[in-house]
Amino acid sequence: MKVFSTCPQSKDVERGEYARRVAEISRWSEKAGCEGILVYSDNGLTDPWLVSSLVLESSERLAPLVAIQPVYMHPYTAAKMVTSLALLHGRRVWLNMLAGGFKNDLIALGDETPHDERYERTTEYTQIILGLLRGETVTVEGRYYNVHNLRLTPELPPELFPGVLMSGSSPAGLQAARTLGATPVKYPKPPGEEESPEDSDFGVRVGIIARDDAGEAWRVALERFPEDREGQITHKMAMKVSDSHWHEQLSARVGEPGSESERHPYWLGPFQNYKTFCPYLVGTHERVATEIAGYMGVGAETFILDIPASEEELDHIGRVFRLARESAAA
Amino acid sequence: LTEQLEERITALIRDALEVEVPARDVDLIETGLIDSLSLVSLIAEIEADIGVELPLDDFDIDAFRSVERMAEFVAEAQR
Repeated sequence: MKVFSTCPQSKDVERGEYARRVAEISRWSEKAGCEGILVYSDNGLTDPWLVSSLVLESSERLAPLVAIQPVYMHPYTAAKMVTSLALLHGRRVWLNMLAGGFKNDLIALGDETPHDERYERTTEYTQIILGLLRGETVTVEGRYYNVHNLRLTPELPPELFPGVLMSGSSPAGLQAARTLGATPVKYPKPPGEEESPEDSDFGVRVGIIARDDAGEAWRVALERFPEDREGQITHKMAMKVSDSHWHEQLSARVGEPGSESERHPYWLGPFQNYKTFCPYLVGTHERVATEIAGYMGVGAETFILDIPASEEELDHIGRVFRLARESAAA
Repeated sequence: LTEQLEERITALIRDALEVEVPARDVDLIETGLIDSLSLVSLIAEIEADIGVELPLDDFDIDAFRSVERMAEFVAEAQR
């Protein structure tokens, strides 16, 4: 099982503080035993490769999980980034391949490629990157890219070959992951409703707030993600322009009623208030661990957490995963 | 009722967004006077001022293009 945390976004942190914050959360994540840390990419954020370089400088073994949307750079340049980081830092990165993103970001860049076609493009794009990183001479006359006898220098040492994740829960996203041999990552439904993909393990993106007492966990959760009407309005506007499969699926769900102590841990409050895109699991360490073990039981081997609020939060999450592993092994 | 709403919405746009509305039927989004971020703030201001939660589940940007359209949408929500 691999656990990734998520890097803070430059839009959410004071300008002069951002680099320090990235370094701090990288160190927390490494100390908590994370395999890596997701670095977001969209029109409103700092460049993910430069942030990834900072992650590498700030840690000893934590791997940046770089979000890569084909509209931002040629696949050759993306491969060059991977091999350059490997040479400069002697470290491995992971690739989080995207086909979607904020629709208005793509339109602003002149890209109105339809949903399923974007997955075909990401597949072609990733095949070129991986071929170059394997040291192959790559020739592709594709629908989206043309390269001829292309080679990558400096060569990437095989032990630093990147792991590849593919974001997306639509049939097109799953097909792209299958074609690439990548791990598909989705924003999950509750564990009891999740089904394992036919022929591979998968990853889930989920936030966790766990405490000894469920009431305390919900107090922390509601304090961190309070009801926010402007956030709810933004969410509804964003859903209108989104063509994302998971946006539609998650938005169709309604909040669970009940008191804090009897609430189901699966919570979409932060998503519905436009604070983050992933569902949260909230409750006691044991109860949340049961949910995590439920995902593991249907094949989830990769977990991508939300941006950690504090080092203490990662300690609680570490306890949840220890319990989940024990539960899954029993 | 709709005329009163138009006046209140025009005042809210002036006070909250510091934008002077040229005319009640001017497309404020097309002319760039309001962007998506300021529209979110404006909708929240309208709800707080009028005391109604607008039905936004099937959000339609066209209902917020002009003061005239906003007033019609709010009036409908109040019924």
